[in-house]
Amino acid sequence: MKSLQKSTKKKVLTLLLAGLTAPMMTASLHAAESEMSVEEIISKANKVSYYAGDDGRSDARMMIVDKDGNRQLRQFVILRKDIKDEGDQNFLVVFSRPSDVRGTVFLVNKHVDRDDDRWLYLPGLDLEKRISAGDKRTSFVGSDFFYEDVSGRNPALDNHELLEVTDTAYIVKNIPQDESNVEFSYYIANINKETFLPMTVEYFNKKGEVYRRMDVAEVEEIQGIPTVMKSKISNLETGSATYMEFRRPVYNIDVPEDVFTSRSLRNPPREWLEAKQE
Amino acid sequence: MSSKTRILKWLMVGGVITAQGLPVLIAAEEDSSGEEWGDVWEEEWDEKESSNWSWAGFLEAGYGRRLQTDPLFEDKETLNELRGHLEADYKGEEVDFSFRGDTWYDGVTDELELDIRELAWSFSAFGNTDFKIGRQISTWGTGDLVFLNDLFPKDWQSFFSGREDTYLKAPANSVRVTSYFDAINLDLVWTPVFEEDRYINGERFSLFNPIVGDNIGGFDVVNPVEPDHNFGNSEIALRLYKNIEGTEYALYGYRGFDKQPVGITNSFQPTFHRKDIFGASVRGSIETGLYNFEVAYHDAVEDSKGTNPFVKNSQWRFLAGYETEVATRLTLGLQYYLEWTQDYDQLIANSPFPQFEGEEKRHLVTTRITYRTAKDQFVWSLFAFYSPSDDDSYLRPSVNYRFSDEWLFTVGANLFSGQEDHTFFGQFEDASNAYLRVRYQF
Repeated sequence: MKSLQKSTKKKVLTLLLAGLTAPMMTASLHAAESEMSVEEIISKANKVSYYAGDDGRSDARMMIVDKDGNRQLRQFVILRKDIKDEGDQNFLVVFSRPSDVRGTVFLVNKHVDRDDDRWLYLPGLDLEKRISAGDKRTSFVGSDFFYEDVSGRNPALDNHELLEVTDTAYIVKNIPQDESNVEFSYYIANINKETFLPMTVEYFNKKGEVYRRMDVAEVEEIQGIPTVMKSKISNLETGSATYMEFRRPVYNIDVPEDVFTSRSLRNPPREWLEAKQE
Repeated sequence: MSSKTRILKWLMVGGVITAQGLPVLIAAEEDSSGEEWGDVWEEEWDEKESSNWSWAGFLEAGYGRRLQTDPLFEDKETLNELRGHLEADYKGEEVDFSFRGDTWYDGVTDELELDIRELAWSFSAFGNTDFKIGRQISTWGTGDLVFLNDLFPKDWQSFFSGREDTYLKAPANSVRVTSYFDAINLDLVWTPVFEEDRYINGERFSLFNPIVGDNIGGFDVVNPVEPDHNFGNSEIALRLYKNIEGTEYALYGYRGFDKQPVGITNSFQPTFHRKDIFGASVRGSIETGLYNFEVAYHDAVEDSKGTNPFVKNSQWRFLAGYETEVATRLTLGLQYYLEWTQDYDQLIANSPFPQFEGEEKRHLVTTRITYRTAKDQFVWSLFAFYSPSDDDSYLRPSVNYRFSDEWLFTVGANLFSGQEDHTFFGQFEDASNAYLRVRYQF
């Protein structure tokens, strides 16, 4: 009896131990992951979303579809160079379609510590129009994308809270520090654990309802870098949506910094904008 | 949608995905909209087109009417046209070619018009220099519809009659050379044969004439004596500029003529007198807005003392501006502009019509208010000029509606008002008009 008890005890102990070890092992795995603070997760997501490689170019187009199914197209080439990872960077966007924006060039010298410098070149007037930094949460060339969706929202503008860690994703809630200059009261990003790309982002209004949503539909590995090839922003209030698609993206092409100056407004640098033939 | 073959060489030359480009597809976690996507992207990219040529254009109908009567015009129409615009570009290995042209039937003058706005060759040399040779449009300076150092030709007839803002800039046959150096950039526009503004000449809108003491018009009443066509009379415009940490500095120089026939010859004909200009500007961002300052000295070379009433006197011009987004999609721009006529006492003492001379200091305030609806479908705009010294104003309200990528609609008005008949805007009171434009672009 004693021995039985003993053996039972032993068994129980073994079970207990086993049972303990397993969760402990899992826990330690989780610990490794959650050792990554939410700030680190956000920082990494920002980096892979907007600072992939040191520079890059891609063809891009947007299809804007309103609630009645009417479509508009924007086609452009986008060229980017980072001055510093997660820091200052430059963008050059050259439009080819539709015909009223054909030849229009958008130049951004993006700064993290001060407002961006932005220019729009209007070829019909030969006008180098400077654009005030202003509200970045307004339509990018008539689409459902905001300027901020294209060039990135500074993570320092939000407080971040890790809501959940699933098998595949970090669910992060982002609350603006200054609610007065954004239209959302918070947004929740579903960040892929492997790539750190936000795969869906839901924007909530004051009532706690989702009114705007970003979905990634296709990711490809380009030069080893997971790259969003297709994404969509839906405005659930208006029933409008914009589909963005990239084509022939290339990273690390060593585009010089002086490409991102006023010269490229009047004379867009074809050498860097064209997709290279291999 | 695409009977149009839009071809952009930037997009065309490649066409082959790079070696790494047999991409590993990482399935999106949830692609609830999968079918929708295929549908949206049914239209192929124009990648198979490998031509170096690209083109675009539009057809536009415009109609505008005077809002009151001008006794000098039987007809109230100020705009009545059907216009075709075509642009074509060739991107070559060494040299690019560009063409922009308009042809339209003008119902106001009952004429078929052709205007080549651009016909130019562009190339780069020495690594740092861009050349553009031929007919082209040039612009510089920091003012919004106020020009201190930009003496490139303007088309005030188009501007007043409600054509698109783009048509305010008129083309000239020029050579433009822009060199980019570490220290500074240099921009030179040489126009061998003087190109005047398309000024208000009485054909479409009447203008004040001091001899008559009233407006004249009904037909082209200004037949100016133009500078002789020789190289000695060419226009040279120079700009030195640099962007330092987001603040843009520029110095300007111009050697040429008044762009409008504000002078009078010895035989009492309107003419363009020699003019030299020196100026400077700075533009940058402050808080969330943009500021700009510009100054220019317009030197009346042929009347340095200001005693000749037939030559427009020298002027100092100053501009200060600020623009900011005051609310989401609502932009407000403000400018203060001063034209300070030099040797004003001499001018008044010698003028045959001192009562019609402008003030010594012409103050002008402008406001631009622009509101865009979400996704820019409607753009509401009001540009207002108001001069407290002349006590006159010019309002330009407009609404643009983007129905689709093809169909664009604009309604607007040009509203002049003034207390006196001879002031800058006051003389155009009877020109006030409203217009409508419908454009189909391809």
